[in-house]
Order: sequence, then C-alpha cells, then structure tokens
Amino acid sequence: MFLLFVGPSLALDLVIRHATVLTAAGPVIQDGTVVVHDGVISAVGPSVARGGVPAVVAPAGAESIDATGMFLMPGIIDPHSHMGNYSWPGGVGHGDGNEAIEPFTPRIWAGDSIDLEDPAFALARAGGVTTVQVLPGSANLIGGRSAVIKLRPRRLLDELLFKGAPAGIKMAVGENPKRVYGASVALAPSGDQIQTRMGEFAALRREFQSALDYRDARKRPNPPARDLDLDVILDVIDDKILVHLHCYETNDILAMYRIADEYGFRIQSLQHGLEAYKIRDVVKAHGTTLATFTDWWGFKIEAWDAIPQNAVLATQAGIPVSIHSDSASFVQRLNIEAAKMMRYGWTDDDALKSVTLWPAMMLGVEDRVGSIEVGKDADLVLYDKDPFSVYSRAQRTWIDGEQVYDRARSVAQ
Amino acid sequence: MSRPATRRDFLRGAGFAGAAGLLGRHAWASEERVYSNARILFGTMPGAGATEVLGGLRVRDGLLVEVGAGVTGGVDLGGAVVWPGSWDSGTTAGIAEIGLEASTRDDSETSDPMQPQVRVVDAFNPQSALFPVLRGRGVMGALVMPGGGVVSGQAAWMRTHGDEVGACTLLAPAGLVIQLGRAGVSDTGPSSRMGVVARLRDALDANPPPKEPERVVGKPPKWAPPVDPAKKPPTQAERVWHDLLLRKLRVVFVAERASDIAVALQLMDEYTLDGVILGASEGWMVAGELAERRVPVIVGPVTTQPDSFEHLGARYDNAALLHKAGVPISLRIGDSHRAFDLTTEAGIAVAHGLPWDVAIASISGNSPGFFGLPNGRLTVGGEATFVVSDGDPLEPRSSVKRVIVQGVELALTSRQTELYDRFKVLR
Repeated sequence: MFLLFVGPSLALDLVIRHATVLTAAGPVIQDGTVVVHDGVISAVGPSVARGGVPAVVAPAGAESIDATGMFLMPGIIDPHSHMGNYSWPGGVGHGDGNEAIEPFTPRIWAGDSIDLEDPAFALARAGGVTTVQVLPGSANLIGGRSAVIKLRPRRLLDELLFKGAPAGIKMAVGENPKRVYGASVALAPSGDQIQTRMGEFAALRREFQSALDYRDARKRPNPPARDLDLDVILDVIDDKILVHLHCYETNDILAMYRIADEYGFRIQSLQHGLEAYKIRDVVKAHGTTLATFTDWWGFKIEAWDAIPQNAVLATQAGIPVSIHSDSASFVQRLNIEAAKMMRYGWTDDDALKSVTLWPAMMLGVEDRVGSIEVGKDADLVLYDKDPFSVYSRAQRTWIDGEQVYDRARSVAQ
Repeated sequence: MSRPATRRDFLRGAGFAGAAGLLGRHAWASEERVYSNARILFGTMPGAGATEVLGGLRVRDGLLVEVGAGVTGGVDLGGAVVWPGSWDSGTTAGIAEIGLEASTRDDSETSDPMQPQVRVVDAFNPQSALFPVLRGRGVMGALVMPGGGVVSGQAAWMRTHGDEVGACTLLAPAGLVIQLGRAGVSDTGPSSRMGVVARLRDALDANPPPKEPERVVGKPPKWAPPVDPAKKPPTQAERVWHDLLLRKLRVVFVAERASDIAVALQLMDEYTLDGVILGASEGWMVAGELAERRVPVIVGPVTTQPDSFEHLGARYDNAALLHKAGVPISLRIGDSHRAFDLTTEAGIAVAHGLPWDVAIASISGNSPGFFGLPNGRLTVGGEATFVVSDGDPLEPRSSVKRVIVQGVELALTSRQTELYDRFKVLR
C-alpha cells in the first residue's frame, strides 16, 4: 500500500476552486471548491458563502487551481475494458484476452495478462478515466476473474490494483461461446464442445453441480486434490465473487437467471445486455445492474434487436445503468457516449452517474470512488466545457489526488 | 402519404417507411411546401460565400426554389437547424446486413484479388434494415464500397432512400476501390505491400486504352486502322482499366500508413490517375504532398487510434492538421450500422481543432463534391433533401426531428423505433 503514496505530487494538498462541480451525490454546485488532503476529498462546497452554506476554506500551502468556467466531475469508471490484455499495437503477440482452450477457465485472472506498457492507458487518462475493470474475453462460458485497476502511471501491477475491490468473474453466454466451441472439437479438449444455447446452459449446470459435488467430496476421507477451477466456482456459489455476465438476448439472460436461482448465486451485472429493455422488470427484480453500449447494433444476430433507448428504459425501471466501452477507443469518450442517451430521456444526472457512481457500484467500490464526497478517493477530472458536450476536452485528471494527466503538458494524442 | 401495409412489410420487419416516401413523391410532385424559422446550414465550405442563413426554405417539385430570410410561413421549425444531413463514405450499408452472419454479407469478393469488374450496385439491397435507421437519424447518402483484395471493385454513391436500386443510385461507378497497405494482402493474393503495388502496375501496364483516331472539329476523322474481326472486344475488367487510364473513372485509394499514402500519390503520378484517398490515419504526416497536388482525402474515422502497425501515427487532430495544410477533406465513420454517429465524429474533430463550419461541410457536401456530385449541399435550384435537428447537429444531445428527401417528408420509423414502441410499456 505504501507504494501508492510515493511521488512528490502526493504530499501536497490540492484545492480546485470556482468550478462547476458535478458531484454525482447531489445537486450541481455552481462556483464550487473541492479540497483534497492526502489523496482523499476533504471538503466540497461553494467557493463563496451563499444561502447559509459557508464557503469552503482552502488550507494554507495547498496547490490551488482556478477552475473558473470549467467542470469538475468524478473520475470516469469503465466496468468493461480489455486494456492491457490486447495491448497496442494489436498483433498476435498482444492477443492476451481470451483463453479459448476450453469453455471453463475460472482459474485464470485477467491481471496476469495486463501489459502495463499499453499506450491505451495514457489515452484513457486523457479521457478522464481513473478506474477500469479488465475482464477476460467472452469466448468461454466462464472466462476467468477480472482485475479492477486504477490507471496510475506506474511500473508494477500491484501499484495499479484497486485494493479492497471485491473479486469479479466474467461469464459469457450466447453466440460467442458456441461460435468458438462449435467450430471444432479440437478446440475443446475437455469434451465440452458446444453448438447451441441448450448446450451452453447444460454445460454451465454441469459445472456448478461438479463444484457442489467437489465440495462434498473434499469433506470426506481421501478427498480429491484441490481443483483451482471448482474452488472459484464455489466462491461464486457462495457470492464471494461478483458475476459479470456477457449477454445480449433475453433468452440468454433468463436462462442464466434460472441457473443462478438454482445454485443460489447473484448476477451482479449484465455486460452489454442489449435486450435488457425487453425484460427490465425481471432484471430489476434480480437486483442486477446493467453495463451497455449506447447505439451499437447489428454486428451480429444477438445485437439485431438493440435499440438506443435500452439504457433509458432500464434506468426508468430503476436499474443502475453504466455506459461501458469494451474498447480502448470508446473508453476515452465515455462522457460523450453517455450524453447520447439524453436525447432519449436521460437527465444530466443519469448521464453523469452512468460513467461514475453506477459503475462504481457495479464493481463494489462505491464507498471509495464514483462521486465527489468527503472521504472518497480524490479521483477527479476537470473539463473545459460541459463534459456532455462533444466539444469538451479533459484538462486534468487526478487519481488519489495525484495529477495523472495535464493537457497543457501533454503532446497531441 | 401512407399505404396499406402488405404482408411483405411485416415479413421484412423494417416498417413501411421504405415505399411510403416514394408514393408520397408522386402524390406531392407539384405541391409547394415552405419551412420557416430555421438556422439553415448549406453544407458548403467557408470562403466561397455564406455557409448558413437564418430563414426558411421553399420547396417545389422536389427542389429548393428559394432559401433565405425572406421565406416565411408554412411549417414553423421554431429555430431548429436545417442541414443537408450526413453523407458517409466507405460504408457497406446495403451490401452487408449483419456483421457476423456471412450469409448476409456481399461486401467483399475474395475469389480473386483483382476485381475491377465487381460492382456494388449488383449486390445493393434498398430494403436493408439499415436504411430506415440511418435516414431516420440524418444519413442521406453514402459512398458504398466493396472491400477485399487489391482491387475490390466499383464503389457507388447511393441514397439511403428509394425502393429500388435505380432510385437509390446517384453515381455508379463512383470510383474503383484499390486497397493499399496490409488491407491489400490476402490469402488469395499478394502477401506483401511490394506484391500489392506490383500487381497494380502489372494490371495498369497490361491494359493500355485503345488509341482512338484523332478528331479535329469540322473535319472528317483521320484514317483509322481497319477493325480486326478476330480481336475480341475488351472485357469488363479491361474497360475499367481503360477508364482509369483515361481519367474517366476515379480511384478510391484505401491507405492508412503515411508510406501507403505516398505510394498512392506515386501511382497517381506514374499513370496520371484521378483519385481520392480514403482513411488516411497518418495523412497529417504527408499533408504537404497531399495539399500540393490538391488530392481530396476522405478522413476517418476521426477516432482511429494508434492501435495498429498500420497507423501508429493516428491522432484526433489529423483532420484539423490536413485542413490547415490546405488539403481538401471530408470525414467518414467506418461503421455502416452507426453511420448516424458521423456527427459525433465531426464534433470530436472540432474539439481537436477543425473549424465547425468546415466540419459540417466535411460530413455533408464535401464527399459527394469530390466525385462531382451536387448532393449534400443546400442550394437554390438544387435538390430539396435536408434534415431538421433540434440543435447543433454535431452535439450528441441533439436529435433529428424531420427528414425531407427530394421534397418529401419521410416517416422516421425503423425496425428500432418499432421495437421501442412495442416495449416502451411492458405488458
């Protein structure tokens, strides 16, 4: 942990004054001031006393930034990234995101594939992004565990890992696993060749049942050897790992709910979930969050019924909705992506939370990040204009109070 | 302007929007219609007169007969923005329906790497479900382009509205698509950049256009060699090469890396070809050469990342730098299903230094203009095809409120709006 606080810029307190502060925790603060102490937000409020609310007092000796005319918001959080697992420039040597050797690889961890030298990280910081979840790809029914990282510019993965973030696991149903494992028996040495959705869910059920049988067997004399895959599955069944489900169609989502209900685990989030709008009542009832695209459609049959109102209808049903990127390009402009949903009925606050508080909640880190509140990590981004205008540009990005991007000092892209 | 739904409409699942407009056009052919109280963007480049005006538009017989402050009455647009809509380039709309369904894709002919005779119009499906979605969000036309191989085939400028190919076609062929860089490399063709260019030179050298007898106005033609009855007429492919060499047909060079753009310029010099560059992620690195030759560049996507060895020099301000250097540019998005988001791409280019009025022209009039088409611009006497947005068309918050094609206002329904209507209230 001490490694996080190495570096000269962290010792200083920071005061950002006269900004329009989009807190994601309440109303917008016009002419607001945010004070950062030891990497944590220590005060939020108006720059001058008004309406009985006293002005925030800046501590002496703090670095002070006059943000007049600018907009300060919580650092952007992307719950669906493959940065570092498909490092740039793309090529065979950088393809580390899909362990497509068998449909079940819960033992693998996306963190082991993260290339910290991926140039995409710096560009994401320039887009105001401070936290991402790196997920394994969607070839496998259970692809492996995710890595939640803060995009600190560091050499060691340990310095990026979001300490205290709950573990997450990627599952995937629908076209992708059956495309990968239906193509060739040789691809599935375990014998789990999958050609249909029926096959996918039968295989999932068998895997969960194997885990329960394994747990029983481990309690008996002459127990079987530790199985790293089934250990993880048991953690899923015990709700110790957040399940992030790659899915598109309603039938896939409903089938997965049947399995989750049978084996007693929760699905934390639908990833993509382009048809969630059709069954938003069911999704809401299961307490599932939604991470989705804005207007992607038609790239495969299971994306054929995608409509741009998906996120808006889900929000109206009370589901916390995050706009995710699934792309090292779109991650740089998630604020603009979120803005697109305003034309279908989202408020500014919906758009703001979709890239801050709701993804924080999805990743189980909402007590630490996702809004500008006293006590939370000082993960912040300052825009020159309304961040939901296409003409806005991030000017500075901070993680734990450390400036990790400054447009004035950066070369073009 | 509606007609009874037929069984075919339901099977298609794409709404009635396709044919309704066409019927409407006949019904309204001689009517006059006025739209007023708007900010009208012409889709033209700054420098040659005003690029916009506050006022109205008078439409008659599918044409704009008057545009300006003097036009009042009719439909009050309440200060909305009228613009020519998006005109995308390098799309596969109409020739590819679903990305991962091979049976729905006719956008790439890979049986031979050299396919000058291939024409997108032969595969074009005006009933594609993409079109109601795209035009409902302001995409009025596109340079539809084949891919695959070194010589992919003949691109065509198509409308996004029309119930048969002829009604959609604005210009076919619009250009011959030649893919440079690794895009030209394939299993059935050359395996390196060297091979790609060598195949092109071979084809150009092997197909010199036949010499036509010289003609002098007012005099009978000079003696021409007698026609050899044994000689076969030129093949379709040969005719395309001839047209290229005679500058009757443009080349659309797909090139991303700076060195590939340089190769395109080299080939244009060697064979005196007429061409445009499409893609040009690293165009800013050769902006001087492009500007010197006045070669048009269809830039994009604007958001191309330095994520590939093909374009390590990609940057957001590529379009701005090219424009600043004096290169004629337009923008493209490179995503057929999301061509409506070309507006956002243009907005991002503005955030990175491209002047706003240039950005508007770059997604409307400029691309068709590179091919000699008048589309994508609002001019008196020109076609009354325009889009009404409730705000700055480049802002993601704005939305399209009306779409008028050749004077006819179209329903904005699509497969997507029908799905929304069906599920907006759960039953």
